[in-house]
Amino acid sequence: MMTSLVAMYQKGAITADHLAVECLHIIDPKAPALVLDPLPREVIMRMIEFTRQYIPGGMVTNYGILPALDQVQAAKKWIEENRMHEIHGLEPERNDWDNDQSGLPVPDPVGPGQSPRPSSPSPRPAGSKASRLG
Amino acid sequence: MISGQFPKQEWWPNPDRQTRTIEEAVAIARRFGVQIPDDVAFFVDEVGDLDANTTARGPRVTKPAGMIVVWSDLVHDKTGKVPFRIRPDILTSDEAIVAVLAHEMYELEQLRPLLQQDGISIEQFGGLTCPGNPGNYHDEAWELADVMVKRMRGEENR
Repeated sequence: MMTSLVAMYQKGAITADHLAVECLHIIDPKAPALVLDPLPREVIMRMIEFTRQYIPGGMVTNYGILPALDQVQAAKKWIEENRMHEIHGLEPERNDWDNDQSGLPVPDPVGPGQSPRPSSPSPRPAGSKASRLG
Repeated sequence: MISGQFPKQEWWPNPDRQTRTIEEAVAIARRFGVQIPDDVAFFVDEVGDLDANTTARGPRVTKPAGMIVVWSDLVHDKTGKVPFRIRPDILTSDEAIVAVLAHEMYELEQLRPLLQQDGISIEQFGGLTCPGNPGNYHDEAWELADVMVKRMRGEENR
């Protein structure tokens, strides 16, 4: 399945966004690497963008099954731990649904030798918009 | 004009079930009057993703509710084209080829100015192109497809 999906993307039959969402839907949250590891960098970029926009119960698609929250969480965590170095200019970003184990807010890093964390630019294709209506 | 959710015309198979390639299908559709722009690409659905009620599909778009869909959401980042997948059995009928490609191109060309200007919400995008919304682009596209097939048969003048 994964091989077929990636092949379809590589020959131009589905977009990177399409592949990213299809892959999220088939992820086993306990073993996301099986799906995520073979994905091209550009698809990983689209996927991390999707995970940052993801709103549980608030996503709309023109067709297909939406990925579940645990699949999106697992993908976001795995990408940030394993593929973030490929994506220049991006740093891990917290979603509302992210939970750290202590339940306490995580402060920005401060102290000698560290700069304030820059705001994270989102990779967005030229011409695309992400404004919310109403 | 409002029609149904599906085409009214039945499509006759080619003699001896001859199967067209994608390139042949595009040429056949163009010969019978379907306008296919250069920034569109067709592919056979080789993985069986399209079910019995789905003849073809354009790009999947998924966004948070209320977000805007723009043209670049439909375009493949490497090819610069909008991809459409065609169910394999469509390629065994020239009438089906003309109907399905006419349908998809009608929807796309209605959407193009909307998506290339300010964009439309993901809800509007789905509403205009998905079955279940009488009178939307999806309906109009099947109406046009029926006309194109009748023209192929010489049953309707241009």
